[in-house]
Amino acid sequence: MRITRLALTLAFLAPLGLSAQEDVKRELADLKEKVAALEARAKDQEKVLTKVETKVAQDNIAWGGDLRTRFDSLQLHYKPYQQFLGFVQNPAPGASNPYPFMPVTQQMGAQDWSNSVEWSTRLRLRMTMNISEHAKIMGRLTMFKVHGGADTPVFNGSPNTVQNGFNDAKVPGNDVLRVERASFVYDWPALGVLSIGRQNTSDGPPLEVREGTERQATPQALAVNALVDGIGWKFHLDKLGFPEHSLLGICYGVGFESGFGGGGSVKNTYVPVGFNFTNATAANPAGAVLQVNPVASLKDSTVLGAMLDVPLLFEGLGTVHSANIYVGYNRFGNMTDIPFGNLTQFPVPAMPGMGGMPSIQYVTATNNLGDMDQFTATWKHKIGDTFTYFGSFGYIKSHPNGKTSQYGAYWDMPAQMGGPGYQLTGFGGLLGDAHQSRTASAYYLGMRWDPRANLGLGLEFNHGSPRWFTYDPAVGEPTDKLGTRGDVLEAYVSWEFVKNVILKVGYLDYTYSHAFSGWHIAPAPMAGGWESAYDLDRNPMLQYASPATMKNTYLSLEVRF
Amino acid sequence: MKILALLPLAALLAAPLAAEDKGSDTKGKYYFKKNCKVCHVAGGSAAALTPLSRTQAQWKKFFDAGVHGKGGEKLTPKTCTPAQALDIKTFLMNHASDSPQPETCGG
Ligand code: HEC
Repeated sequence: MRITRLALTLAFLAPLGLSAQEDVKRELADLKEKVAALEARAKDQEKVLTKVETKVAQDNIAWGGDLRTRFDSLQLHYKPYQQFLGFVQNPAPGASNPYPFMPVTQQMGAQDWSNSVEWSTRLRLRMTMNISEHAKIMGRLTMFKVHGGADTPVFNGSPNTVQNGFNDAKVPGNDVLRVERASFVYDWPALGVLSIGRQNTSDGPPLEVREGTERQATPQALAVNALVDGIGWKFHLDKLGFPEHSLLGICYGVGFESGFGGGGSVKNTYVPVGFNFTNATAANPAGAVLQVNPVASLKDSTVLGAMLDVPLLFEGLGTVHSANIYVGYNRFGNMTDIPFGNLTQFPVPAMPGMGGMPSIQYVTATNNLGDMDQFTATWKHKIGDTFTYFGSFGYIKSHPNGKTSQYGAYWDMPAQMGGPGYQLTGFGGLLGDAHQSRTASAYYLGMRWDPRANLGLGLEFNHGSPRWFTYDPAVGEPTDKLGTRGDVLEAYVSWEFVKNVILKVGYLDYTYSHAFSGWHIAPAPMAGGWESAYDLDRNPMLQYASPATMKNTYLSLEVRF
Repeated sequence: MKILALLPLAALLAAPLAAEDKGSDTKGKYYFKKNCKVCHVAGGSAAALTPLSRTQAQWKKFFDAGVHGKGGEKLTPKTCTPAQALDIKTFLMNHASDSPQPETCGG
């Protein structure tokens, strides 16, 4: 455009005399300068525009999150138990034990142990990326670090639980920033919401009450509080006459991918897992044979879930009420014994049938143990702004397939200990019984009083039956509150002394009734009923110690943004 | 000793309510649904609105101006009472798109 105009001007001036040509030259130079200046300005503007465009792209990621530093002071008490050490030769086989070997145990007295201060820092970065009006990506990156060099998790009141991609953002560990959530969410206003990826499955209801936040996740805390990969679909139920924002959700996820890693990419491989003593007697000790089992061809473990969400908002008694009903069902398919992951102080036998050295190990699944049904229901009710209470209930039922974990010793049992077919292993089968379906239940009650907008006082109690298990590695502390077999009482004061800066003081009191809290597997007892064999009041025989009580006094400072 | 330890807590509780003009979050949620969503829903007579539709600053500006709708009418008392407007403002600001607690609608 500018060039054309310039050309026209030149054409117009051409017939003029020489002196005029001088003028023209000067004007031409002038014009050239102006054009250059204009071009420079245009370039500058382009730069600014590009910057604005980039800014818009960045604005598409909305950031939020929290930073929390916390001090936990832990006191543990252990009741007497028999420490299982391994097996030795049976010097006098008899009616009660005809086998040429016998377990050796060391009687342990009651003991106390404390960790006066365990300091941790947790950083959570929440991201929302709006792609279009109905599509977005939701993510949360989390670092949860124990101060000091500790890279190994200590939780569940016992240093024997596995850390892996399922729980590592939920338990204090190292300084890695982990992807706790990353899912693509598409909302069809008329149909429902699709979500694919790493789901919002941690800190679910009613945990938001004690955190003083909005609801954080889809599944209830008693069902799962971990990192689940999968796909979910939520139907809007408003149109069916349900209250606004009512949802029916279904989800499908994979917990263990058997075709990836885990024994190599072959259909079958065999490993020695222990000794089979079926044909061994005192007269024929040579009858003990090496037990070799297939381990590579495991099935994927899956979860298929459904949940119903009904929020209620109503007026009454001179104020307004906000209540929620949550009902959930999960079917865990082909559960494995030990998930992929690492753990510490894990007495994996150095030799089959022998107790090994405690060490940090990387472990993987050795067997599919069966399926499990899980039901959860929660009622939460907030009256005005000052009082909230909730009740949550969980029930599980196992469907074992007869298989046990291949870790540890292995053999058929004598008749008086279960008979042939009964394998005694260090880790056993689903809910401590590889053969019969078992059930367990738990409940979780709580209330919170907020006398002022910036002050909250809470009281909570939860109880789990002897075989209770849930996918709740930890709820923001080094211990596993909702997976406890026994009782937990918690009291806290939360004070937002500056906007979005919260000081919290709390006390957690755990009383464990049975061993193996936090585990979905447990060994079959050597004798007697499972519940009495692993009752912590009855001097149980344990491969590793399980605390009877634990007191945790904590102080935390949390900043939200 | 124990009583002494409780004193700061008691002081905290007894401290007069700050003279803040804060409304009720729960009430705000309720009145927003009752008074605003009659029009502001998908397929309604006005654009669908949720707390996430605006930033905290935008909500503040909107309520401080107190002007609403096409004709530039006052927000109160036509759509809600002044007290309700304060509750609604509190709720919307608490869960605005840039708040620490954005309303996520079922996680
Ligand atoms: C009788 C129907 C009706 C009710 C009730 C109503 N609005 Fe509106 N509102 C409108 C209309 C019409 C507009 C203008 C067109 C539009 O934005 O869709 C509007 C516009 C708005 C806007 C955008 C205007 C701006 O300046 O950004 C906001 C924000 C808003 N309303 C908030 C509210 C709130 C908060 C309430 C409840 C206290 C409310 N409205 C109740 C009809 C209503």
